[in-house]
This record gives sequence, structure tokens and C-alpha cells, in this order.
Amino acid sequence: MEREEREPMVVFDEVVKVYRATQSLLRRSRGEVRALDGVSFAIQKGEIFALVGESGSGKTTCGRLLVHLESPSSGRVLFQGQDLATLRGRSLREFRRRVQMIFQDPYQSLNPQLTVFQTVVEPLVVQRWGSHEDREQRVVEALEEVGLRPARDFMFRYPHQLSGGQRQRVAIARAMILEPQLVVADEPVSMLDASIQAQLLNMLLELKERHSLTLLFITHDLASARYLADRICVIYNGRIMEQGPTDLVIENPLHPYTKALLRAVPTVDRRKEELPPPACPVDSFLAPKEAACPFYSRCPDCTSRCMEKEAPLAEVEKDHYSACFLHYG
Amino acid sequence: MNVLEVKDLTVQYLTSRGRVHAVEGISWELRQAEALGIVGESGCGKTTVAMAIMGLLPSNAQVVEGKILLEGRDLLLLDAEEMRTIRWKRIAMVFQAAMNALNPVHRVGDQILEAMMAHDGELSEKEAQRRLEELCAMVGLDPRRMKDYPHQFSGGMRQRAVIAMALACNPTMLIADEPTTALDVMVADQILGQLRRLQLEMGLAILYISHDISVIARSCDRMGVMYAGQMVELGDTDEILDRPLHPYTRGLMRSYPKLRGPKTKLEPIPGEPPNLMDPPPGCRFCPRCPDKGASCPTERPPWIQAKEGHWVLCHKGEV
Repeated sequence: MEREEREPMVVFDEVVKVYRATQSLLRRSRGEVRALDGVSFAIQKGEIFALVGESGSGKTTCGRLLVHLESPSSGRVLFQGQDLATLRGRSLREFRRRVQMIFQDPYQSLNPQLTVFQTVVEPLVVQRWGSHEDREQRVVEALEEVGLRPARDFMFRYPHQLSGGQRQRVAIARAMILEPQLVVADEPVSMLDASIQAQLLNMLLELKERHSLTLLFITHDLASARYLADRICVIYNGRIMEQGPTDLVIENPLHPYTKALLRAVPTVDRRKEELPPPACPVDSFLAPKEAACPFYSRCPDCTSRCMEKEAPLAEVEKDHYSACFLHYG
Repeated sequence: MNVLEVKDLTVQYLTSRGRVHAVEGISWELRQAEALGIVGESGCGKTTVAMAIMGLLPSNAQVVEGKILLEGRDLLLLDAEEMRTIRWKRIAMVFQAAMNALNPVHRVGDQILEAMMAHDGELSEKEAQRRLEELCAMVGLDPRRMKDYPHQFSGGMRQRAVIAMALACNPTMLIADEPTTALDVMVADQILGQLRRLQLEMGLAILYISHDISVIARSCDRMGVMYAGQMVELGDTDEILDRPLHPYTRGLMRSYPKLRGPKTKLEPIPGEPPNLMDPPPGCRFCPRCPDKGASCPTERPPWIQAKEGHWVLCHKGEV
């Protein structure tokens, strides 16, 4: 009941994204890549939703579709009930104000020729927000909120005069300055050192609380997803393998892929292995057959059924979904 | 028996903006057939140490002090020609993101064979071919794929090929600098397992260098923690992870989100590492240290053996 009343902030509805490999002089056509293959999920207002996957899983594509940097090949992406494909003019501008993105690499995402002030004030200028003085005041607030204090010491520096952690703080200040409702953070800390990562993860939690943000957190790191997120969605080869409340996914993983992933993550509790089992010869990237489960070639529980078709997502326990025939008996 | 001993090594870089105190007075030894891990954040000097061992420091680097002894012989005193006989034959290295260093226009197998022949001119083609098959088995590659080009390999397979190349001349020790950083979790897990097997089964001594304490935890018998150019703690892996003595090590361990056990709030180390052009005069960690005492800002901390085999660089190290 309750769930129907709350309209989700974001809905991905059977989203497919196909990239066509560009033709070059040496290679003619390499066909197409299905980066996302029928992905559906919903993000509730005020939650942190983590999209976890390895490289090439399609997690970044989801982020780019959600901020409307790209459009789906089929299916719909809805923000507050509105299909992004229908946004034009004023409504598109309004959408751009409400949804912001933080990128992975703070060494590449900041314009090296702009000062911190210019970088952070730019969204206000684009949105024609306030007077010059108002904007300056707002930039100072935003910088101090992300821990660049006193702001006047940082405002006129260029990116090369900042550390990686400070750069990412600038990128976050820029994303936050228009008071967005939804922030897409694509691996926001993975380029930074551990002690700086922890500082920024805590800061994202504080920002979320203070501004009642909704956050799509895209990461390859299950441990930081566990730390931040309310719900986790595990994606592999453009398909959702498992989705559910964080504690259930981490403590009671259902899908063989999630289980394998959790086993593989190194942790400080896993010590001085005596003699690890020999690795299976299949390394990765065995191109799966169309319509088969993308994990079948590496799956310990694989059956002949898995090679023929993929299992649809099924609700195995409350709010906890998995796409595997294991759950179909 | 020690394979390698580093004694009081101090390395500085001369730059247009000043002298960078990259590595200062570090000492440790790598024992026969053991895995030693050096963990530290970017700029802490861990890669500089590896490059000094390999004799591959850039031209603006200066070894101000110290010795690097390979079975009693100081590598820092060798000339380029002598060093060439040591490199790859005695000490091999897998570089960070090395899998991208494979030559794209040569077959993978040919590249490994070339590494073998270059360092052992007397090897016959037949022997080399046999050795190549051995290497494939050691690192978990299908020998039939040796005729492939690098682009036909996945990232993990390329990394295995690079490890095979490093092992081509049967070295006494291997330096693995961030061997899995660019790889996906499951592939990284396999590669770390494979390296551990090589160490345990073949008695290869491995020096791991990583920013990731969990990689070290899993692979290494002993570990050292570096901060701002200094070794701040050294000892048995379990001992350090269960009873860390240095405030930096403790802070680092509280910075990693945990995957198991109760969820606890991360307590990051405040601030950022110092500028090594002008490091703090006393303890280099003092400006960020939650437990600093009166002498810490001005006096250099002593390198104390707090327990058998557990060393710490701290004024309060005896606690």
C-alpha cells in the first residue's frame, strides 16, 4: 500500500542502450554493443541507491542516461514521473537544475583554465540565478559546506594548485550549488586515497541528510556501497542480477554472481591465504549467447536452461530480487 | 636468510621548485620465499623504493644515503651493465598497469620468448618453447593462446602474460607494484591467488606494493606501512592489522568501509599528507595525529622495536 502512494523519483523502464561501434579505416563494422539490455528499477525520494558492477557492466551508462547526457535506444527514463525524452526548453532547463552529476576523475572533470570560483559559479550563471553579489555569497557557502574553509583561500586557485581530494570537493560544490534534488555520483571517490575517500563518503552522507538529497551512487566497490546505500542493485553485462535492501544483498546474497563478487572482494579480515585454489581457466569475457544469462559461462550453478534464456528478476524475499533460475525451483 | 636488505635508504628528487624528500631512512629486509607488502597512499614513496631497487630511478633522483643489498651485494654501487645482469634475472618487476605495456603488434608468446632470449642468449629455441609452456601453467594461461595478439586478451589475461614475462628468467624475487589495481574484482582475486601460489609453491620472494591494505592483508606474511616518505610501522601482517601501533596505521584501517561485521561510522584521518618539499620537522604525521604529544612537532620519532619483530616510528611507540 505504502509503496504505491510514494511516487518514485526515478524510474528506469525496460531501458535498452545500444552503441554502434564506429567504423574506422582499419576495421569496418564491429556490430553493436548492448550496454544496457532491458534494465528496470526505481529510486525513491531521499534514498541512496547504489548501482554496483564491474567495468563494462553498464553502470556508467545508466548514470549518463539519468542525467540526460544520452537517450535510451528503447524504454523510458522517468524523473518525477516525466519521461526525459519529452523534455524541451523550459522543462529541460528546470530538469538540469534539479539533477546534477559528480564524475569519477577530478583531474579531468574540472576545466584547468577556470579558477575554483569560476567553476563553481558557472551553473548559477547558466541558470541566471541572483545578482553578482548573491552568487559570490552562494559560492562561499557551497565551498565551506564541502570543507574548503576558508573559502576565500581556495576561490582563486586553479585545479593544478589543488590536491585530488580538494578537486573532488570543488566538483561536489559545483554539483550542489543549484540545490539539486537528485545527484548522480559516478565512482566519486575511486581515484582518491583511502583516508580521503573516507572523508568524502562521510561528506556525501552529511550532504544527503542536510539537503534531503536523493543519490544514485555508481561504484565497483561493494564495501562503499554497503556504507552509503539504502538499496543495492548489482548489474552485470547490461542486466540487473540482483537488487534489494543493502543488508539483505550483502548478508544474504541470492544471485551466484553477487555471491562470487562478495567472495572475491579483498578485505582486511581475509588474511595470509595458505594455498588458494587454482583459478579456473575461464578468465572473463566469454561472450554469452544472445538471451542467455550473462553470467552462465562463469557460474558454478549453471544449467542447460541458463544457456538458452535468462531468468527474469523475481522477488525472492520481501523487496529482494534476483535474476536466476535457482529461485524458480 | 634474507634475499634483499634495504638499509637507511634516503632518496630525494631535485625539481625546479625544490628538493623533494621522497624517501627517508627506511630499512627492511625481504626474507627467502616470503611475501612482504608495503602499503601507503599516493606520494608516500613506495614506488620510489621499488624503482631504487630496480635501478630505474629517474635522472633527477638522488640516493642520498643507504644501501640495497642483494645477497650481500650493494646494488647501488653497480654500474649500468652490472645492473642489467641483475634486473629480470635476479629481480623482476610487474609494473603498475603493466598489461597495457604489451606491444600490440607482436604475438604475446613471442614477447615472452623475447624476454627470455634477451637475458639468456644460450637458450635453444626448443628449450625456450618448453619454458614458455611452463610459464603459462605457472600463471594460468592457456598455451594455445600464445599465438594471439594482446588485443585478443582480456585485461586479466594480459596481466598474467606480463607476470609470465617477469618470471621468464627464473628470478629470485619479484616486485609487484599495484599488480591488480586496474582489474575487476574477480579477475584481481584470481591474479592475487596465482601470485600467492607462486610464492608458496615455488619459493618466490615477492615484494608487494599497494595502496590497498586489504590486498596486502590477503597476500603478505609481513607488511610495512609508509607515510610521507617514511616507514612508520613494520611487522607480521596479523600483528599489525590486529594490534596496529602507529596512529597512521590505525587511522588508515578506520578509513576502509567494511564488508562484514557491524556497520561502523568511518573515522577518516583529518587533513592531507604534507608537502614533501617542506616536511614537518618533527614527526611527519604529527599535524594529522590525534594522539600527538609535546615532543612530536619538533623531535623526530625513534624507530622502536615494540615487540619481537614489530617496529614502529613513534614517540609513543612503547605503549
